[in-house]
Amino acid sequence: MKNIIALIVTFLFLLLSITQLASCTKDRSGEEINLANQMLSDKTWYLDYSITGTSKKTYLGQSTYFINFLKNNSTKDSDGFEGTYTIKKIGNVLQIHLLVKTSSTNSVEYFYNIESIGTNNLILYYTLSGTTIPTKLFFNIKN
Amino acid sequence: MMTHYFNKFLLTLVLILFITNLEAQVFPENKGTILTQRQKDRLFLKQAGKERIVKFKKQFYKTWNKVFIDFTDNNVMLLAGMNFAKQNIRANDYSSPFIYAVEQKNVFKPGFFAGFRVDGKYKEKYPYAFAFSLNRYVAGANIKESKSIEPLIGEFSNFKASEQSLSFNMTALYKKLIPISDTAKYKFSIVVGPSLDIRLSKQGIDNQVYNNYRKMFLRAQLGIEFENNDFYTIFFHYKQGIHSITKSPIQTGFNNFDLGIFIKASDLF
Repeated sequence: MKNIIALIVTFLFLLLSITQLASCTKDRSGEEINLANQMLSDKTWYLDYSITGTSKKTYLGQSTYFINFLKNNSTKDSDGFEGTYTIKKIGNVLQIHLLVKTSSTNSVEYFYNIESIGTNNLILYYTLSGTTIPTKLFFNIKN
Repeated sequence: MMTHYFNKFLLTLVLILFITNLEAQVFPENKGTILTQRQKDRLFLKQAGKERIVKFKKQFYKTWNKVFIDFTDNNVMLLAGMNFAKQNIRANDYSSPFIYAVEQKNVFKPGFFAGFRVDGKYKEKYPYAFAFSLNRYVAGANIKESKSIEPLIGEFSNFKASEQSLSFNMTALYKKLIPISDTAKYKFSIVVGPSLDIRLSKQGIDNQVYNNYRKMFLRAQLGIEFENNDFYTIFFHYKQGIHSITKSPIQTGFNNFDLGIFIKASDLF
């Protein structure tokens, strides 16, 4: 009887240890940012489409806006803006924060919300102040 | 968090080992010297510790033999072979900011495994086997649900299937001999039983973010085995997942075939 109780206690202890280990969770926003950084950086992203409500503009096969994000967190776009970028998670949304300037202008800070990000596709959106309809920007790494 | 618990567990194990080692040490008693009360106490305590260990060992073996008294005629076998795995994935309402172009791979992809198993008889009547193996899976990803993102071309999914993994598998099998051919020389058997996999490899970075894959998964195993003159046994097993290997809402059924061979360890060593 004593042995059976000892076996049961050992089994319960093992079961408890396993479930305790398995139930651990952690804040994963850091990993989310890392993955987004990995997908975004060291690439030049070309704008393919811009959609605001029902209005859709296509830039496929044309000279289009592009933006370059480097691994050292620096960025440069086709409009001549240069600076740095950071990916942040605000609320439940990943954002790209940019701090840029041209040689003749002061620093400008703005951000885009990330709707979707993949190795080849990037969908960003922003809402201009005074409007409620967001503008979606579809980027691709191939022009 | 998990690493923290694991470190604590390891530390406790090391401490226990350290203490039991200290307790198990026996210092030679010099008959020419007079021992102080403190030394006598220490010697007494050491003996007590040693006795406790011996007592525990005896109790352990007694219990072990009592529990496993009905498991007889045990033979240790070494096994190895190839596996062919596939996963059927339904992402359901899973969403994340990450998108992946869907590459349909509705195929069983080859991997390999190696391990050992113990074959014996329960109550001298019912043949059984307990198998333990390390499995390297490369599983084809059959994505059953994908989505399109207008105006982008192609199909996408928010979930990226992890194709490669390493797992430790434990299986308990019931064996049934099929009376065909000359059973003294050739034995055909059907085996059936549960199979538990514990994933040892990390998930890819894409799945680490939301910890999509489960650490353990249970499957049902069914197979046939052919034993040739006690020299070797060739087997073909099928493992059917009985629950999803990914967390809700993603449903992933993981199935595989095992094609392998096992031989008695005593024939080799």
